[in-house]
Amino acid sequence: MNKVITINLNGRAYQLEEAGYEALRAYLDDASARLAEDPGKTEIVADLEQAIAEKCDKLLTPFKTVVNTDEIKKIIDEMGPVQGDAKETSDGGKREHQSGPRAPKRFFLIREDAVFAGVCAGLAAYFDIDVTIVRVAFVALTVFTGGAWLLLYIGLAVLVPYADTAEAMAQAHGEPFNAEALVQRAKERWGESYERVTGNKWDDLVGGMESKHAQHVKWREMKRQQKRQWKQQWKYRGQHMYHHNPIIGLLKAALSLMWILAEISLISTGMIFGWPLPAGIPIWVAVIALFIVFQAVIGPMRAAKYSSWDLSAPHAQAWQAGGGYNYVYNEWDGLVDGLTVLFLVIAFGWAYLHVPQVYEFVHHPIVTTQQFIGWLKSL
Amino acid sequence: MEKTESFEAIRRGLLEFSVLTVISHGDVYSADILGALENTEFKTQEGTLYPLLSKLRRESLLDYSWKESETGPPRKYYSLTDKGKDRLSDLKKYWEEITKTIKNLAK
Repeated sequence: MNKVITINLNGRAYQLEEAGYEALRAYLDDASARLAEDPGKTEIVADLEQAIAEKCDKLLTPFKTVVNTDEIKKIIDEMGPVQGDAKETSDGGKREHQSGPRAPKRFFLIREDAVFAGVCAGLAAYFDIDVTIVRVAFVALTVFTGGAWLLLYIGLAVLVPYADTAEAMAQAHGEPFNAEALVQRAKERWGESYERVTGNKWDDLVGGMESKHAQHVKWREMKRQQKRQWKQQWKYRGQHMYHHNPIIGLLKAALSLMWILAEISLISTGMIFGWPLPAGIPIWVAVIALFIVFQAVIGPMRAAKYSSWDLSAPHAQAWQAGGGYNYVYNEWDGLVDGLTVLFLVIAFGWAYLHVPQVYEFVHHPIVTTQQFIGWLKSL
Repeated sequence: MEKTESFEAIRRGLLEFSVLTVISHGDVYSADILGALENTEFKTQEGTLYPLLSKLRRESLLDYSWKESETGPPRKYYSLTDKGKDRLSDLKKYWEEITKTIKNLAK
């Protein structure tokens, strides 16, 4: 089951599947961008829309009222890439391969794919490689440098901002902004054009055709539904502004500061604010442990932020996961995250005390890793 | 016939000529133009044709009129202006000269 979006092509309403709609929007945006210098831009885009509308008409019957995604992609293929002013096409087919303007790539933390702070996810997006590879590399480097590498992770986690807006998210992946933010922008734009395709206009179009009466009723119902969703979205937006409450922010800042100070005191003196570490625990394990505890504590706070954050910065995943306009993170998600981390810490502590291999690994990481590699080679 | 990338420039240069030729047959609809070019070397897509038609109209080589359609909204039917007809006959003459030259060079 796919969501359907009603669009206005040269004054006529068409229903497209959501993914198809996005593809079409991208095609038309691209066409507009390429024709930016062309004095006949408005006319050409109208002609293109007309041609698309006619191709859609051919696919629709009284019993098939929605154009599906594959059909839209086929139509876009048939239309072909739009070529700018004919004079400029003398530079060969190069223009055809150009896509929209590319946003500059920036390194952001990405909390959606984060295990701890999203450093690895951010790096993976930046270098366009699998996040698992980055994670394995990080763990390996941490082990081989006896924990020193972890400081880099912590430094990045503290200094690099989160990709909290759709634009930042696009930049993190180095993708054209309109690809990621398309959904949001399109929905806004569509909401406006939607008002333009008012019931009156539709009535004119339908004229006296009784056979289309059923379609009309359906369309009205959809219109009502979409309006509701719009209202809700704006309502949530309002809440978002209100929600940004300073107490959570201050608390989080205070905790972050405490944690950073604790890490500094741990690294410089080998003690946490004067408390010595339990016997036999190396500093690098304590550094990780502190970080994990910190994450576990601020988890629920992050959830509070999440619940208001989502709508101001919808990203592809959230939209798809929610499949709707008003998917909001469950407040409990963060708490569950925190508890999971806490459970992992306890499990690790237990394993440290009761599983000799884990104890060995903590104390002699390099030796244990070499043994492990040796064991792998012997397989 | 082998179609290499290097012919692409010739094809593109002659597209305007071929489009004007198709329109010279009388009022044609954009889908008719695409259909006429469909099985030729000048097979074209909307993405290329529409910007070209817009440019030719700006140069007042062609014009269009709206005509009612049975199946949908009114359509644009293109026809050549006098200036467009002059341009087409100039192009034809020039084309004949060029082919003559090429033949002579080959002798």
